[in-house]
Order: sequence, then structure tokens, then C-alpha cells
Amino acid sequence: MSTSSINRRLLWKETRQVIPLALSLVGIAFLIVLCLRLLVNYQLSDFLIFIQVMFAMPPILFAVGAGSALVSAEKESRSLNWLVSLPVPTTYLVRHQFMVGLLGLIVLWLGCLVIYVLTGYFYVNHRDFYELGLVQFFVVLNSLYLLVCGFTTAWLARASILGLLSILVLAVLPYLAAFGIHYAFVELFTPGIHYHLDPSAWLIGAMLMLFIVCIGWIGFRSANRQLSGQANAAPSMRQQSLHTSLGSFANSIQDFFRGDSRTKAAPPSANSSLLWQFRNQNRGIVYGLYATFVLCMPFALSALQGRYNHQVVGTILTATCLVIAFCTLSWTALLAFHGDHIQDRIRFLAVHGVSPTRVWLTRHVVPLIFLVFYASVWCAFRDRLVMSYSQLIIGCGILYAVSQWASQLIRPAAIAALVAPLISTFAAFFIAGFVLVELETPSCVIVIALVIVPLFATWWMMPRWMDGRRGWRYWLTHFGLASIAVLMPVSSLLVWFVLAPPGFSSDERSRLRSAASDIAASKIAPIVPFPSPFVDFEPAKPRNTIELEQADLTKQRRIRLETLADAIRESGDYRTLWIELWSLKTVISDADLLRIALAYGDQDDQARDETLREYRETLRTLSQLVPALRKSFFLSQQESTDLLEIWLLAQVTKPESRKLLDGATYAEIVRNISQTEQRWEARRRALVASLSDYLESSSYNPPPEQLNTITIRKKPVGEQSLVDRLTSRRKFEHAMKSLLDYVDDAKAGRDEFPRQQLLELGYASPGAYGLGAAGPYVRIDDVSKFSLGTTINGALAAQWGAGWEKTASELASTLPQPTITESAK
Amino acid sequence: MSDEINSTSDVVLASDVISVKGIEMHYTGCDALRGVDLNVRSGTVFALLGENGAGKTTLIKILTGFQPPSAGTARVCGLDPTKEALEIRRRIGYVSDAPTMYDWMKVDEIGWFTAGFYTDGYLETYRDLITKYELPPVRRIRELSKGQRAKVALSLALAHDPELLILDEPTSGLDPLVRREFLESMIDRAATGRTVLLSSHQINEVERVADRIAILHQGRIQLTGSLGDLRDSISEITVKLSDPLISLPTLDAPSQILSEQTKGRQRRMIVRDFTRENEALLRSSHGVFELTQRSASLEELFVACTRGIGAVPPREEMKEAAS
Repeated sequence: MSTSSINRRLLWKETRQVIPLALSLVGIAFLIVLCLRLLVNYQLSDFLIFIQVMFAMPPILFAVGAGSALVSAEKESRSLNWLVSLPVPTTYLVRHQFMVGLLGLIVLWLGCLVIYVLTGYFYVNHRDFYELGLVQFFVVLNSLYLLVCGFTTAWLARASILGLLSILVLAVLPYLAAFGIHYAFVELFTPGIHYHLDPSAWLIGAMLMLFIVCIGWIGFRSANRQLSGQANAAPSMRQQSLHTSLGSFANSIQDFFRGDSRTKAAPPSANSSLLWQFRNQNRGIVYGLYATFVLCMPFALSALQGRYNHQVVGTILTATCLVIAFCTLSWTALLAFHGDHIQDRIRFLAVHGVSPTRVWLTRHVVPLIFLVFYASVWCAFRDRLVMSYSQLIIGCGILYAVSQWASQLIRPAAIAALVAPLISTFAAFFIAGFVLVELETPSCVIVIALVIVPLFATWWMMPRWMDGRRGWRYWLTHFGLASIAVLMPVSSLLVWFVLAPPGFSSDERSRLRSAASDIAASKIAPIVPFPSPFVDFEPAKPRNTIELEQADLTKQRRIRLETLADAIRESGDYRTLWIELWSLKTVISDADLLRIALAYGDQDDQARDETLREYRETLRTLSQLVPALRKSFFLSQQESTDLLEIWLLAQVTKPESRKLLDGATYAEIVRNISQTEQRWEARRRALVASLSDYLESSSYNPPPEQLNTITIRKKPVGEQSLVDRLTSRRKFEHAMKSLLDYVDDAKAGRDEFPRQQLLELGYASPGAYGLGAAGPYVRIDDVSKFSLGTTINGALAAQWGAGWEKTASELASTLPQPTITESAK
Repeated sequence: MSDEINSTSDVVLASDVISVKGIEMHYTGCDALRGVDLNVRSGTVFALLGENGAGKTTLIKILTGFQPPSAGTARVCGLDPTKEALEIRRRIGYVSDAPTMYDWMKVDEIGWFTAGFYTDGYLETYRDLITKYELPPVRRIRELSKGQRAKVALSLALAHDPELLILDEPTSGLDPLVRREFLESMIDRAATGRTVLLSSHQINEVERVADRIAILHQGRIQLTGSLGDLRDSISEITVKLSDPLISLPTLDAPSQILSEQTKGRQRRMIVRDFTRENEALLRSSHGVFELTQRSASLEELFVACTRGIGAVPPREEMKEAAS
């Protein structure tokens, strides 16, 4: 056969073997980017970083896994032995395997470069683009190094997963060397202060090149030795004598790690023998992962410390160690089932009738010990991750559970070792984070969906997995459980959409618009504003306490009262009055100060008479303000009027203030605050006008932050979660419908306040609607509990239908009925 | 013939270790088993014969609970393999043609490890067996030869003294010495009253150890019975005809033609329970001028059942080939 024919066939074979790895990595990266783009409301800059990371990830992971997919897989399936038996030069095999890996890497990088340039062209300015490009150059060089490491470890290691994990150690060697040289020659021998933590890019590049050559040579030599059979040659006499002399020592070491002496004893229980088997089968990898985690953690923590202090993000070495330390849990979880995947070893246990549940439990003991260790270490440094204990533990649980699921599903070790950290990280940080923050799913549901369901899936499928029955039912069950895991956090939202009461129907909308058109005329009339109560304070403008004491406060008070009376007169029968709540409170405070002055009794009779007259006049003016404000179609004015009425009611019911009022003032106040029908009519009008404005607005999804000057949303739109954005409109419309129904019912004498519907809007505390310890002091049923400072809560309809309205009506019924003459007047 | 098998298998005796009724197994584009009925009594060595792809391994997988059947029922040691597979696997011993083992374990270690899943006495028996088979206890499984691995697998399967031992082509790839040891151990098992189900396509080794056989072809049991009875009752009948188009009369019961072939003016038949009455009937038939009869070997029977009698060489050719 000609050389070109051999080349063509070998290239075809290697390409076919490597395509699943490349496609699965690209597919997963694409899905993750798509999910992030669709689901998460990231800032543009954050999203660009994600895009860059996600598009750099497939080539890097491909570089790590190519050796395992091309070499280890062939060694494990023993197809390499058959290949060697063919009349093909061994160097051809080694060369073609590496060449296909290299070609795959180049193709992936070129593809990523195109996408990177396209995204960068639209979003990144030229300077950033250049800097990122420089970084990318070293990432490409590093991926070449990883590719060489992957092939070398695949040739050296017996099991593919062991080879993959060995890359972790090799991955940091050039950086350690570069740091060593940098520290030795720059930090120690060069005087002065050095601020740069990283060695120069050229030093790292040179180290990478050097290690590519060295490790590549080791790998090539090992491959040739194995393929030519030199690796199986009998040991030399010297090696044999060395082995004999070290025999007892080696045996005792083996006994320590394997527990060889135990096997001489009586047979163990099924559980302990399965644990012994698992521990010995995976001991090299488990110890390696412990060591890797312990070694990488200090570097990882230093990287996190920098982030925590907002100072230094960390060096390349620390960032790499952070990623490796983070991934160790995923790799440990992979051991749960992967050790038994090799050569279908698990069939041995199936043939001997070992219970699948027992096997499942014993597969998890050793990885779970690592999980506890891993979670404890991260919990100890929880502050650097800015996460709570529960978040950390749940995150670790998800990483573990999803990775062990991947280990049962994905048979090729290379793909499993690369894909498991990716999908478990995605599940722990993005799916769990997304459903927690955006869908506000309870933590227990997340635990069930992303921890319990994956563990249940592997347990449930254990008999089929052990028996090798991986038919369509096996895959469909896994797919169904995966769907449950993904949909469960969303289910509460879906159920809400099905069961929650609807918003406004089209009929209701048209009725609202029609009702709003009736009050359109009053909306056209210009509003009479109540000027700032301190407007006349301007000329005095006290700059210090002495000047403040010297200011003529009495005059200011009288001016405010006159201005208010003028505004009320000016509004007449048709125009509405606008008064800010704080302005109203100022006038009310004036009245309170007058009452306090009267209560102290330190004035002479003339001054006391003057104060009493002024107090009564203020109260009369404020009571006249009630019907004037009730004309307003602003909800906030209706709420202010409620407070004013309650305050006036308190003045006429509390004995200390009641005794200061003469009969006429008392009667006028009581009449003005007991107009129940007008009050409900005014509220309905304001509500209809507000809802009409809301329906007229071009985009009422999500609803506005304010409904006609009343805040109805707990967070601004930018800070709202997805569930808020999706549900707020229906919740809002339902609450408004309930409120409108309530207003109509209350006018007809029925009284069922829609407290729950209003509370579901989420912007007001339960106390605002009379619940909890503070409730009676905020929503006023008993006027004696009223205090102006406490009662104002800004919640919509907070005082509607509260007990004070009944008290006001009862007071009105005690008044003498006006005679016809008085009525005529 | 199938009617007869069905009628015998309808009776499930208390001493039946394996009872299979109407088992079918359909894969996409392939029917591995098409209604298998089978009873295996305890204390026998039962051989399941069939060419490659006949459905032997599928049937064994169904019996051991590794594969639920598409239709039909099976009982192994009185248990249903689809529901009580674990209990069956604990009570039987099973050696496949390529047994999977933890190859990083040593010979002694794997016995110690497996002893945890069985009752007391397993390890001692296992150690006796590896001593008997001269297996090196401190050598790792991956360092053993294929024959030694097979011996380890057999030791592991026998150490708990199972009431049923299922062997799926256990001797494929083994040298004659190891194969002989294997077969002798089967006879030893049967002698102690235990049952052995042996799946094989090696006729000569089956002839040496089996009490009863069943020939499986294209997913159906073609023939079943005790080896001695079959030897006695199966005959090859050669009829020379004056005209190849002559049709012979139907044989009266209990005689049964298993296969027949016409070549020129000679018609060859493999007949079970060929009686003198039927011989007379054939001889007296129009156009028959010569009839010869001889006993058929198991191999001829197997070939006739699987490939048709045309694949069985005539006795003269066999003699020539032998000479």
C-alpha cells in the first residue's frame, strides 16, 4: 500500500475518533452562551467577557482531551494492539494522531477567532481589542502546550482519566518555572520595588516553548517504545536486583495504601469489600485530587483575596490554580461510576448478584468524603467568595450531583472529564443562580431539582447501568429526569400562570376607559397648587440657630394658613387642589404647636385667646381642605386627605383637644370628615383616572413604578427579577380589580378589604395594611392610636375602609340635624 | 416436532431448574428468539447447541436477568428473572465467554473481594479451587493467560456451590488441556446433583459431557432430548428412486422427518424414531428400488438441523475424507 493511501486512511480514522469530542465541546459552549444570552440580564461588558471565555474554552478543552480521545481510548479498547499488528510504521501512527489533534485545534481556534472578531468588531474598541488579542496569543500557545501534555500523558498513563488528571500537574509547570526565574533574577537580584506580580509575557512564552519541546520529546519517545514493544522488554539485571532489594519496602508501602494484609484475613462484609475495591481502584486519582486541591488552594485563595479587596485580580498562576481547585470536586464525582466503566468491569458485580443500591451507595462514600472536605475548606474562606454558607453548600452539592450524573451517562473518559466540570459549573452557578435570583425559587426546590434528582437518576438507573441495558428506555428516563430537574424550578411560575387570576379583560378595559372619560373635564381644569409653606421664609433665610430663633415664626404660620385658605377658595367647585404631603404636615404641625402652647398655659389671657382663636381657625381651614382635596383625581391626594381626616377626627375625639373647640368648629369639622359617600366616590374617581392613564400608556408591561404618584413597585425595573417582570402586570391588574370591586362594595355597605392582593404587589409591608404588631398603629381602626409620624406609610389604599371611617360616621350621627334655615344658608 | 416440544414443556416439573415458555426477543431488524420453550431438570448437564447468532447468548441473558424478553415467561430456580434477577444471580454461577473481572486485583484478592457477596465458606472453597487449578494467588488478573483467567472465572462461579451453573461458550479460545479440565469439572458437578447449562457450538465436547441437548437455530428450538435417546433414535435414511419427481408417502407416527434433500435420484432424510413399519412402507412405495439406513452422529444431526441435510456429507465422502 502506498504511503499516501496509509496517510489518508489513518487521517480518516483519527478524524472520526476526535469529532465527537470537538462537537460536544463546541455544542456545550454554544448552548451555554445561548442560555446566558436568553435568560440572564447581564450587563453588556459582563456578557462580552463571557462570550470571550466561552469561545476560548472549546479549543483549550479540546487540547486537553484530544490525547485521551485519540490515544487512551485506543489503548483501553485494545484496538491499538491490532493497529500495531498491521504493516504500518509506528512513527506514522504517533505522527498522525498528533497531527489530527493539532489540525483540530487549529480549526477550532480559527473558528473561534472569526466569532471573536465579529463580536469584538461590534462591541469592543480598538485598544481593548488589541490587548485582548495579545492575551489570546498566549492562550493559543498555552493550548498547544496542553495538547502536547495531553498526548504525552495519554501515552504514559494506563487509564485515560489518570492521564487527563496528570495534565493538571503539567499545566502549571511552565508558569512555575517562569515565576521561579522571574523571582530569582528580578525580585531578588534587581534592587528597587517591583509592582508587577506576573513575569513578562515573553518569559512565559519562552518557558511554554521550552516545555513543549521537552514534554513532546518524552511523549514521542514513550509512544515509540510502547508501539515497538520496547516497553514490554524484560527488566535488566540491575533493575531486577533493585526491585528485589526494594521489594519488602515496596510491599509495605503497597500494604499501607491498598490494605493488602486485609485480604489475607477473613472475608469482609459486602459493603466493606466494595469500599475496599473502590478505594484501591481509584486510590491514585483520589490521592492526586486531594493533593492537587491542597496545593492549588493557597494560590486560589490569593486570587480570591485580590478580588475580595478589589485590588489585584490575581496572576495567571493563581487564576489557573483557582480553576483547577474548583474542578477537583467534579473530577472526584466522576470517579463514582467511571472507574467501573473501563472494560465494563461493573458487569462483574452484576453477574455476582450484588445489589445495585449497595453498589450505588459504596460508589459515593469516598467522593462524598472529598465533598465534605472540599465544602469545609471553601466554607472556611466563605467571605472571599461573598457567598452564604447555605449557598456554598448547595453549590458544592450541585457540582457533585451533576458531575456524578455525567459520569454515569458519558462513557468516554476524556469527554466526561471535560464536560462534567462545564455542565456542573453551569448548573451550579448559572441555572441555580438564575432560578434563585431571577425566578426567586426557594432553595429547597433548587436542592431537590439539582441535587436530589441527579442522585436519584443515577440510583434509579443503576440496575440498567450495571447490566449494560442502555437502550432507549435508559436514555429516555435520563432525559425525562433531566427535564424535571430543569423544569422543576420553573414549575411554580408555570403553575402561577395557570392558576393565578387574570388581569383586566378587554370589556373591563373599555369600561374603565369609558368611566375615565366622564372625569376628563375636571382633569382639563388647571390645578390650584398650594405653594411651598416656606416660600415666605426665603427673605429671612436663617443661617444659624440664633437667626432661626429671631425669625418671626408666628408670622410665617399665619401666612401659611392664609395661603391655604386662599388656595381652597380659588379651587372653587371645579378646580382641583394639589398639596404636597409634607406641606400638609407643616400646617398640621402648626395646629399641634398651637394646641401644645394652649396646654402649657404659660400665656396671658389675651395671648391665650389669640392662640385659641388661631387654633380653631387652623382646624376649620384644614377641615375645609378635606372636601377640596376630595375633588382631586390624584390617588396621592386621596391618601393625604385620609390622613388629614384621621388627624381631624383625633382632634375632635381626644378630650384634651376636644375641650379647646367651640360647638361651631366641632360641628364643621365633624361634617367635613364624615362625608362617607363623597369619600368613596372621590377614591373611585381617582382610582379610575389612574388606571385609565395606566391603560393608555404605550407599554404597560411591566407596569409603571408609580400609579399616579403612588409607588407601586418594590424595585426599579433594572433591579427587578425575571419573575417580577413576568408576574407584576397580572398581580397589579388583579389587585386593582379587587380594589375597584372593593370600592363598589364598600359604597354598598359591604366590607372585605383586598389586603392579600395588595400585599402580593410586594412594595408595602404587611403592617401598612394593619397586620403584625405595628399594624394597628399604621392602619387606623382606633383613632387613639393615630400618630402623624407613624401612620404615614405611602401604601396604596392603606386607610381605605379602616375603622376610623365608622367612628367619623358615628360622630356625625350625634350632631343636631341642621334646620331648613341653616341648610338654606 | 415443535408441537412435541411444546407439549413436553407445558408440564413444569418441580425438579425443573429452568423452565422457559414462549420466550421471544426482538431487536430492531432482528428476531433473536422466536418462541423458545425449554425445561432443564436438576442434576443434569444440559447443552444448548447452536451456530453463531442462533440466540444462545440472548437466551442466557434472559435467564440471568440481563435482558427482559419481548414476550414469554421464564423461571430459573423457581424465580422470575425479570423480577428477581439479583436473587437468581446469587444462587447460580455464570461464566460468560469473555468474563469481565477487575484486572488490577490479584487472584487471591478477587476471591476475597467476591466472598463479601456470598455466604460463609466461599473463600475457603475458592482457595481450594485455585489450588486445584494451579493458579498463582499473588499474580494480578491482567498478568494471567486467557486459560488462567477462564479458570479464575470458573472458580469464582463455583465457589458458592451454585445449584445451577451457566456457561456461555466457556471453552472458546482455550487450549485442549484447559478445555479438558473444564469439561471434567462439569461432569463432577453433575455427579454431585447440581445442574449445568452449557452453551456451545463445539459438538464433540458436548457429546462428552451433556445428558440432554437442545439445538437452537434462528431463534427456535429445533430439537431437544437426552443425548442417549437421540443417538438411538436418529437415523439417516437414503432412498434411491427411479424418478427424482416421485413423492414418498408420509411416515406414520412416531417417525418424524427432521430434514430431507433430493440430489439426482437419491433422497436423503434425517429421521427420528424410524420404525420397521415405516421402513416397509417406504420400501413398498412406487419407484423406490433401494433403501439404506444408518445411525446419525450428533454432529450430523446438528448440521442437518441448522444447515439442512445438504450440508451433511454422505457417509462415503466422510470415509474418503477420513482416509
